[in-house]
Parts: sequence; structure tokens; C-alpha cells
Amino acid sequence: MRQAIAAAIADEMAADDHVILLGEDVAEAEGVFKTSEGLLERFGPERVRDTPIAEMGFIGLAVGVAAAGYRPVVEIMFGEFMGVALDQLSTQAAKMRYLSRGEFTSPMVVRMSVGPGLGFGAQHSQTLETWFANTPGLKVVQPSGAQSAYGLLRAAIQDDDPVVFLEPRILYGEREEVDTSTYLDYEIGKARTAVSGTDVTLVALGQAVPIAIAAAQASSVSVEVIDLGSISPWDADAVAASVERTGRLVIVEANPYSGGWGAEIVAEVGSRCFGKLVAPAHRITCPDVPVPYSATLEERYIPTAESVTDQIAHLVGSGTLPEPWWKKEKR
Amino acid sequence: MLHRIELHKIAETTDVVVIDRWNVRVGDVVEANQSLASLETDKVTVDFTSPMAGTVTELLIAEGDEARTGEQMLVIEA
Amino acid sequence: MTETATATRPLERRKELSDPLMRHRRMIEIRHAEDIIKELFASGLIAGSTHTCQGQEAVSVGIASVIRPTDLVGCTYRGHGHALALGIEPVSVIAEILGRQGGTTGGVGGSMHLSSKEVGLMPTTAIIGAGIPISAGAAWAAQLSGTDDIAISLFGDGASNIGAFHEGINIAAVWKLPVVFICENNLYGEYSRIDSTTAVEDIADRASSYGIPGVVVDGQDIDVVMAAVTTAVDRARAGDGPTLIEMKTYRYAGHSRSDPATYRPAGELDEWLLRDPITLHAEKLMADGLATQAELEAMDAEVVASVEQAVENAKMSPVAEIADMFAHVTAGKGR
Repeated sequence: MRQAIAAAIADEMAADDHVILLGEDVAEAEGVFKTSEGLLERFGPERVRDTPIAEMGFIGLAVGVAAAGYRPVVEIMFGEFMGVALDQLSTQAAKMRYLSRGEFTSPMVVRMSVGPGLGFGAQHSQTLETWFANTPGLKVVQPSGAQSAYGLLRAAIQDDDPVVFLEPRILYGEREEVDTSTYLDYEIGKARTAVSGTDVTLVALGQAVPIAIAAAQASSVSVEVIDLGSISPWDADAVAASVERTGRLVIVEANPYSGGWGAEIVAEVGSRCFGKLVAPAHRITCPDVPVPYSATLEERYIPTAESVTDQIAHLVGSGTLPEPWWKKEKR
Repeated sequence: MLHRIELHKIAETTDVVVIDRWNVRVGDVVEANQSLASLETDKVTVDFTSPMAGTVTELLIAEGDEARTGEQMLVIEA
Repeated sequence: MTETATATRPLERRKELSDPLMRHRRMIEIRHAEDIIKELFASGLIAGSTHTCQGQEAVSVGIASVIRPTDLVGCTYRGHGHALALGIEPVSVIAEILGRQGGTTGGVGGSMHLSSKEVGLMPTTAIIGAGIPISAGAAWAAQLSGTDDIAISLFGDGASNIGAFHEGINIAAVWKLPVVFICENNLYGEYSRIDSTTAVEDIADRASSYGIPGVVVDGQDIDVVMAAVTTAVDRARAGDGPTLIEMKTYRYAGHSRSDPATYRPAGELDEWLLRDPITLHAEKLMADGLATQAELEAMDAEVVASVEQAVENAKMSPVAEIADMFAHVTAGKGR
């Protein structure tokens, strides 16, 4: 996936000389996750720029350079670092078009590595969709592999609004065939059906998508997996259409339970499809704790394909909600 | 019952305000949240609103004079 | 007024500032507009709070007089004076504050969010310090494009204590961005007012931490302001990087005067009232033989009438419609 990301940035920089890349270690070091390999060499130091460790400063810089006509791609090394700069993104960039009646805009992409599973500890492992999702003016996108990363990142860079591009860190090394000619098929706000099925609609985002796919494949129930791709805006029509057919909605999230993005899906689709549901909507998430470090704990923290398969079996078999594991075995 | 209304902390940079203009007179009946006065600080002009409904019986600070956080501004009968 | 006439009037107003009499007129206009805005607020036509700038007119008119409309300006919520100085018409500023369609932002922004690309004003921001790195970014665009346009970053003394000040100025200094950082230090009177929040007396001293020039300027004298800003702007255009200018100025909280005659009130505000930028400039114009007392009084009366007319015109502008709330949120369907 990291190479697909670098390729998407490169292809957009080649197509439009106003696209520029900035961030910590993106130029000389080619990105700490190697997501900007070859870019400094190809496009030069004016367009590929290393910044000091000053997120508020360089996100603000991106807002200003975008308002003045450029299309910056900004890299935030770990998603949590957005915390020191949230004002520039959610309060400044998101409102720039609105508060100038379209005279000044923010065609920028803020990319950040997110998600648990690599032992980076509590302050470098959150998925953070919900920091951005409830902000009109911002778009929030999360790919689930190399192909979707390529398509969605090109869409994000071409978008005239500020886009938050969340890169599941655990998938950077995942390889798959990428067809760069299909990138126009990837639209922000459009979901993709990863696996077709008839009995359960399983919705996932980012690193939860491969988990969902593996769970579906191991399931004796026919499971349809929907890769949302974006959380703001998100494809409610596609999810609702699927649930109308299957009658069951299950969501897999790589984030804590309370207030997670899946709650928004359940609220919207649960209401729209109320008469068609044959079982309660169910969310499979991480527990409401900071991400633990020790490998045994972190493995347990993230939902596994096996536990998703089991919970689907319980839901379909009994029509009742399975209990989250932490209620059964915490202490 | 007579209530002596105090000035709450209006601005983060200072405890001193100037009464720019009273928007009510003695005898006026006011509602809760109604604007009582326009106050000036070193940075900003703000509304001073009534915490309660009632009748204004006394204005304790003159227009153009200063008041500090905690000082009594007016008396409302309610 | 036709659409075309409205579109060029702000730029004409900008050009007018090359004449010292027009600069004087603009300062008077700002003073009267701000006084009237305070009245509108006190009378309940404006909700919440308002941030006026009486006393700081020399700073805004001085800056506007020496920069180009293609130089982008980032400014804070105390922006009415800067908006008028840059050329936006009083009717547009007042209509915006009243939430009317004729406002700079169609009534959707309000007092704290004025904007006009035509005169280079980016949407004014309500978050302390936020505009500092944004202005640096606008300067970066000029650097990338190879023009010699610059950017101006305007902020208050409070912003010099917030993180964005440090980060924005540091990056601008390291990258030699063509931006001029201008701090309007408008605390009146005693040193004790600032020393409870700020570790230095002169904010300009902080410039040395970034290796850039820091200049303390008498913000009440428009000619001094123009000279200092010109030096900094020329330095930026030449590619030599940013400057931090601290304008020592004063905000008249409820004690504004625009009378060109000298005025001596009792009380602690004496010193600053004697340094009223409009009074100082009037004295200079008269001493230089550019205007008589009578002419300045006539100008004052004319400006009062014209601002009052602008208020009436603004009140006639329709209130923002519900549909306006849904416009310009995003570009529409993206790709």
C-alpha cells in the first residue's frame, strides 16, 4: 500500500504542477513509512518539502498556500499529532470556503498514519475518524489496501475541498495488484462491495476490511462485506440497499466502542431499514480503553476474523446480540 | 425580594469594565437574559444580561464609570 | 449602483490612499464606523460581542497604503478597521455585521469573519494566532509562483503567547518566506497590564529568537507606520525573509474622539488620548499647509454623513436567507 500511495502522489504531481507535498521527513528520508519514495528526486526540493516538527505551523502553512491557489498534500506522521493542529484543519480549512463565499478555498489533503496493531502504544495507535467526521466542510476517507489507496488518494488530491486521508498503518506493507487505470472508479463517498452475500451485511473501514473479508470467507453464513471507503460523506444508500436484502447489519471497527463511527451507520441504516431488520444491529469493536502495548494485550484488543465469524453465527442463529468479550472475561 | 446583581467575569484579559451604556432605567420590567447594559473591556464590547426576570429598582454604577468583577451593578426586585 | 461599479469601488478606494488627505479621511471613516457599530451593538441590533478598533486607525490605514491588492492579508476578528482601510466599503462591512446579504460574506460570517479577495483580505479568523501560519502559507505561494508579492500577518499582543506564533514565525524565518508579521499591541496604560501574561515588555524582542528583525513602532503616527511597513515589505519582496513589527497602539474603550481640534480630558487616559492618531495627523496636515481646520471639520462632517448613509443602506439590505446557510460548504460533488 505504501508504494500505491507514493504512486498516487507522484501521478497527481505530474498531472498538476500546483500539487506539492510537505511534512516531517517526507523529502530526504522519503517518509518514515516510505510513502514518498522517489518524490524528492523526481519533483525537486521546492515541491517536496521537509518541515520542522510544528504541526500547527505547517498545517496552517498548507491552509494559506491552498487559499492562495496551490494544492498541498500534507503528511502527519501519526494521526494523534493532529491533536496539536486541529484548529487549522477543522476550524480554519473546513470553513475557508464558507467564510469567503467561495473566493478562498482549501483544496488540500492531510494524510496521516492511523490504527492499532504494531505495538506503537497508546499515543500512536488510534484510528481517529471521529475527530473529523462531524465537521461540515471536511471529507474523511480511509482506504483498505493498495488498490483503494491509489484510487482514493488521487480522488482526494483532485478534490477541491479539504480531505482527511487516514492510512491504516498496519496495511502499509500489504501487497496486491494495482491497476492504476481504474482510479476514476474510486469516488469519495462511494462504498464498494468487497464480498457479495445474502444473509448479513458486514460494514467495515480501513484495517477492519481485511478482517471482515476473512471473517466472511470463513463463515458458513452468506456474508456481504461492504468497504465504506469514506466516513464523511458515507454511502448510506449502498449500505441501506444491502440491509434491505439481508435484514442484518453488523459493523467491524478497529476503534473503541463508545462514540465510534459505526454508531452513525447503525443510527442511519437502523432507522431507514427498521421494518426490514430480522436481528438487532451489532457493532464489533475494540474495548473502551487506550491501546495497550504488550503484544498479547494488543492482539486481544483488535477484533479478529475468527471472533467476527463467531459473533455473526451467534447473531444469525439466535437473533440476539452477542456479548462483547470484555464483558465476559475482563477480570 | 431585592437582588443585588454582581458583575461576573466578562473578559479573560481583565477584571475591569466600563459601563458604556445602560439599556434599562429604574422602573423597567426585565426578562431573564434581557440586555441590561453594554460593557467595554480593554479588548471587547459585550452584553451584560439579566440573570432573572423582575423590576429594576436601582442602578449602582454610572454610565462611563468602571466596575470590577464581583462588584454590584444594579438592584432587581423579583 | 451597478454590479461593476461596486466591484471596482474597493480598488479605487485603495488607490486613493496615496493621497495624505484621503488617508486622513479613511481614518475618520474607520473611527465613525466603529463608533456607530458600537451604538448598533448597544441598541441590540448585533448579538454577542463586538471588537472595535478606535485608536488603531493609523495602523490599518498605514499598512493598506503601502501594500498591493495582490498581497494577501491575514487578520483577526478585530478586523473592521483593516477591512475598511484595505478598501472594502462601509456598507459591505456594516451589512455583514448586521447579518445581511449585502455583507462581505453574505451575512453568514458576521463581525468576526470579513473577507474579500478583491482587496486581498483572507477571511478574518476568530481563533487567536491561527492566522499566523496561514499568512506564512500565503507568502509561500508567492514564493513558489516566483512573484514578488508578499503576505501580511496581523495579530494582537495576546497571540504572541500562543503556540501558532512560535511555529508560524519559525517556519517563515527558516524558509525565508515573504511575510511581514505585525503585532498590534493595544493595551492601554500601565506595564502591569501585560506583565501578568507576557514574559517580555516588547513583543518585538521575540524576533531575535527566530533570527529575524524585530521593530517597535509608534502605531499612532501613520507616517511612522508607513515607513516601517515599507521597509519590512521591501525586505520581503527582495527575498530576504520576514520581519516582526510591533505597533504600540491604543484602543479607546468608550472614549473615542475624532475631533481634529485638541482635546484634554481628565483621567488616566490623558496620555493616549493626546496621541489620538487622527488628531496627530490633523496637526501635521495643518502644519504642512495641506489642509485648514475648517477643511478638516468639513471633511469630518461629510464622513459622518456618508457613514450614516452607509448604515441606512446596510439596513435596507435583505437578511441572509436560509439557502445562504447551505451555500459554499463544499465544492459540490467531488470526483
